[in-house]
Amino acid sequence: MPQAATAASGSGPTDKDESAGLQMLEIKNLHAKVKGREILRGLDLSLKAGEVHAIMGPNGSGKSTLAQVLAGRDTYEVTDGTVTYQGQDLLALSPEDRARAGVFLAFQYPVEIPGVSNNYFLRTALNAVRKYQGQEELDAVDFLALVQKKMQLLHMDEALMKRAVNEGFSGGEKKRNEIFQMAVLEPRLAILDETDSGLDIDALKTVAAGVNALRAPDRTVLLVTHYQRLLTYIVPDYVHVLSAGQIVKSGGKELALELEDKGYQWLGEPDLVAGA
Amino acid sequence: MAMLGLKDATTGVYTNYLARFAGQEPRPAWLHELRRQAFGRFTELGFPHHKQEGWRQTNMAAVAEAVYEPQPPPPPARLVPQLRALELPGVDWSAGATRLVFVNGVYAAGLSALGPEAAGCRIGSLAERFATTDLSAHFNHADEAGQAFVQLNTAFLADGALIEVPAGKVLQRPIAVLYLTLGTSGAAARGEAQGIAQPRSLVLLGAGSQAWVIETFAGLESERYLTNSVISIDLGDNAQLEYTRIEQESGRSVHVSKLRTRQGRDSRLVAHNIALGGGLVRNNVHSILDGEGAECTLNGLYTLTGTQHVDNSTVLDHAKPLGTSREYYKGVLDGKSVGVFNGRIIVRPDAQHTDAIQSNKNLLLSDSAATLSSQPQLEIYADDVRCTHGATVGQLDQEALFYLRSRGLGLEQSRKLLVYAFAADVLGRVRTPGLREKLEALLWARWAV
Repeated sequence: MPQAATAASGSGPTDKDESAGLQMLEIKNLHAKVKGREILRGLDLSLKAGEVHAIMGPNGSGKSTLAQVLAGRDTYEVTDGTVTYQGQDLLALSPEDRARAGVFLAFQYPVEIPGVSNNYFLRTALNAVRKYQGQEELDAVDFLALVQKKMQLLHMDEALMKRAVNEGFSGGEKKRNEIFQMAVLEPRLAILDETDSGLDIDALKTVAAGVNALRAPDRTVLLVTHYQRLLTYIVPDYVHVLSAGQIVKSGGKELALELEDKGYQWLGEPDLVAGA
Repeated sequence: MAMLGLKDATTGVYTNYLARFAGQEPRPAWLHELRRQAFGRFTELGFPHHKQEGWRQTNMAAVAEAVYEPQPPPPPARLVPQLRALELPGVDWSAGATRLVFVNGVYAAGLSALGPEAAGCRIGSLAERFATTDLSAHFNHADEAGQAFVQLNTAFLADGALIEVPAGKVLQRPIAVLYLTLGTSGAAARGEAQGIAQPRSLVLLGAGSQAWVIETFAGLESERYLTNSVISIDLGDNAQLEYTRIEQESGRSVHVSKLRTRQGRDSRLVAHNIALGGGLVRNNVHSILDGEGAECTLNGLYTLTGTQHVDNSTVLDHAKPLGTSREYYKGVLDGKSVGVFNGRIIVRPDAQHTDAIQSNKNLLLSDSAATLSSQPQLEIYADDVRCTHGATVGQLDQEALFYLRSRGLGLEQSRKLLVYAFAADVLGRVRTPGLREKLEALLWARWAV
């Protein structure tokens, strides 16, 4: 079963050539507000399959808002613009349908859910995704085999599966659990919201290795981060700078180093940039 | 019966009870006297009025106005399949299990069974003991003299479960008691009698003994009736009991109950109260920690839908030093349901070094239609004690809901999962062999898709 799943999920050698370079996500003129305050002010972004993009920016620039809007959080109101995911209108989908269609958000602050075991939660999630994608649901045995494989990747303790989702986890364990979930769910578009925050260097390396292992020609990773540090371990193809709700600069991985060196002020006052 | 009908005489309701009272079969003298006195007290007290302290949030007017008569049970050939079709986590029908079944409060020997462990204990119908033993001391507690429903129950005291475990005996398997009350179906016509059962049970654990007791209260779907149950539990020194009451009455029934527990020195009681059914429910609990170092846990869950009204009124009564009590009640309220929690803790002057914690947490599922009233009441007469209480009313955590959905779980499924998770720790405290899994399955089926 797991073998069939791997082939069906599109990471087989024949799919690679077909999907690499295809349009994954197209964001045009995205405006979004929360509690009446406009956060995203005409954001444009284009991601192709197989690419890793990093979005950097100062606090309050709208990075997390973008991540939440893409995942479908209803506290953010999209007031203008379009988001096209693999040819379909992403904004028209419910959060669960986005997840089932292959969008994954690694939360900046993963939520603790007492009373729900990781095991139940993740198997239910995986089977919801598989069902939506026309694949056979995994039984407990096959699921366990899959989980064991993925846990090794993230150096995680199997006892964690019996514990409640994120309950009592340290900050690092929560972040690792997010990447573990991602590894199990095998999304097409992975959005990592400040996954590096609160991680010590060892945990950061583990998480980065987990993400790198998932890099594939048919998968796109969008890293949202404040610091360049993460990008040493997950090297992006493109770096974008977000300021006051717009992408103000795009470039290759060297842009991140430049930002680290010169700071965000180098790009000018955020308000001036936004007003331009 | 000169005391009859002080304020409700005009309704004719008391006449109904009086006629039934007068028609009771002659019994041993002690029982006759007990009932007579109880009937006298009941008629003086009348049904609790909703302006009365302790009853402000729960109106029993419907009970006071209705007429109740025990409904004849259908032939066993029809009743047994109906009974077996009910999903009752607390009842074990398998061979070797100890099971006492009461229909309309009367022992049904054909449905009951005594397992091998029952040998050495006295487990069975209370009525069978009446002829030989004067049990009035167990039925005549001074602290219940002012409780109308207890007095009504005593006035019609006929049968119930008797569980007597001798000193030092440790039981491995749970003792299940099922009370089935038969009612009337269809629309209630004015003046038409509904069903009634008033079981009276007694659990006596000798010093150092250990047992598990599960009481289940059930009715057939949408039947109308009143169950007025009273149980008295006594734990000798060092005795241990886990007691579970599962209330699965019909949605159109009225369920009133009294649980009175008295604990000896260093005894340990865990009492679970799982309220799943019933239209109008009032559970009264009075736990008396009557020996040094006694430990008592009251663990409750009520899950309400539609127009259900469930009132849990508990009293934790610390009478002796070094007692520990834990009270955890959780409620899930949907629709237009009403939940009431009154948690009173009394620490008497002698009860130094009492350690009492009370918590009542509620989850409101509907936007504003369900209501919840939670009232802690601490009466502390000793100076060296620790007592804390806390109550919360909340709605589903939107962050958690989004988190689940962002992983592909549907909205409805996510909601149900969170509701189940909210109740999970209450069920997690159930240690009675085999019971927790069955309760979890039942609640899972109710909430999960």
